Amino acid sequence: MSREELLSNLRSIELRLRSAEVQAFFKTQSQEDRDQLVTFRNEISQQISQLANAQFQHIANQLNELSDDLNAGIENLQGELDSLENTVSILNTISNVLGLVGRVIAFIP
Amino acid sequence: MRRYVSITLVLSLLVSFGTSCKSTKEFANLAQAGTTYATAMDRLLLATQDIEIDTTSERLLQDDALSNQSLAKYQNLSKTNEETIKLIALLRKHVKLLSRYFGLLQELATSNAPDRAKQAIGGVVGNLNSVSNEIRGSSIVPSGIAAAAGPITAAIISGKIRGALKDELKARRDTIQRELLLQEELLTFLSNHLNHDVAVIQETREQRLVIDPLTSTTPIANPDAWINNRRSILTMSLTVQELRTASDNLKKLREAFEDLLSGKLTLDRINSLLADFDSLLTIAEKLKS
Repeated sequence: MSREELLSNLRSIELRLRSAEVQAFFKTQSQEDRDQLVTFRNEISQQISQLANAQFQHIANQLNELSDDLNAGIENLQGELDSLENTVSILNTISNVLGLVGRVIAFIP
Repeated sequence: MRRYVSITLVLSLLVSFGTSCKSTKEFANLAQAGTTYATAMDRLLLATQDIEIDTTSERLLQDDALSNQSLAKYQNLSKTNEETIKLIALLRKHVKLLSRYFGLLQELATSNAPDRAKQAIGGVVGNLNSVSNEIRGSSIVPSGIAAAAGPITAAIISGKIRGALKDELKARRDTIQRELLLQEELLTFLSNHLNHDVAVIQETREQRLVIDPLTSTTPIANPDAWINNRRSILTMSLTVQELRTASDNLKKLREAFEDLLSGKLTLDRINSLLADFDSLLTIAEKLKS
């Protein structure tokens, strides 16, 4: 049985154990029986949470393996954006310098 | 004759650059779909965390109604919640990285650098000619070339952007495919997980807030609150059901990235994906609230 199948089965069992009918029935039973049901339900709920956490961990580990390459992509894209800004900035600087030169020349008699 | 040929060449280049410019829009829209998905997944993870904690609380209350709870029983369940919170924080950290990646892709694809460069080169040419007029009494850059300089510069920068986008997606092709496959797996898992948690909450909360007050010998103190509780409990599962089809959208996003690189992607397909991911974002926000 796979982890997913086990989780699915435990979830079905828990839903039945926590149903209104089961709760109402055990309210009429002895304290010993009620304690046993609660201990069993607690155990099932814990197993479900632990299996779910194991699955979260499994996916998180695999995603983590891709982080380095994503970071490389981020660096590359940022580099391209910076390079574009530099190009525009350089063109603007040249334009500004030429503008200043033009004004200076205009003043020279 | 030479001037006629060179202007014709320039115009042809402009036309070919112009018609292929639409592929930058496809990059931009696909990147936007990725960013929207990442935002939706972040909200969904937060909702999962809150719902998980509430599910445990309802379990403990339901058990306490039958048998007085001990510290050990409380800690058994509470410790797993603490572990879930840590794992969700890790997943959210990764999703933020993914969001940053798609965000930069979109920023590059929608950059207005071509227009700004066009204006800047216009300034360069204009000022060059002013200086030349002051010194020689005539413009150094002929009017035909001066007029074409701006559009050519814009086209060159656009081409550079398109090239950079294609190169980046080619370099990251395997990583993106694997990432989206894992996100599909995560979304499917979250959908099943939330479906169960919400079912437990519905079952236990209905007993606590609806059935027990109704079947008690004491009349219901606040009937309006009872009605509101009953309504919100019975309709809880509707939002979670909508998640079931969301993982199909990730498969479409994966296929869209592949097709973008091979030039088979259309804007209509991307716009349809954008709408799907907007719906996922709406579902995630409903669950979070």
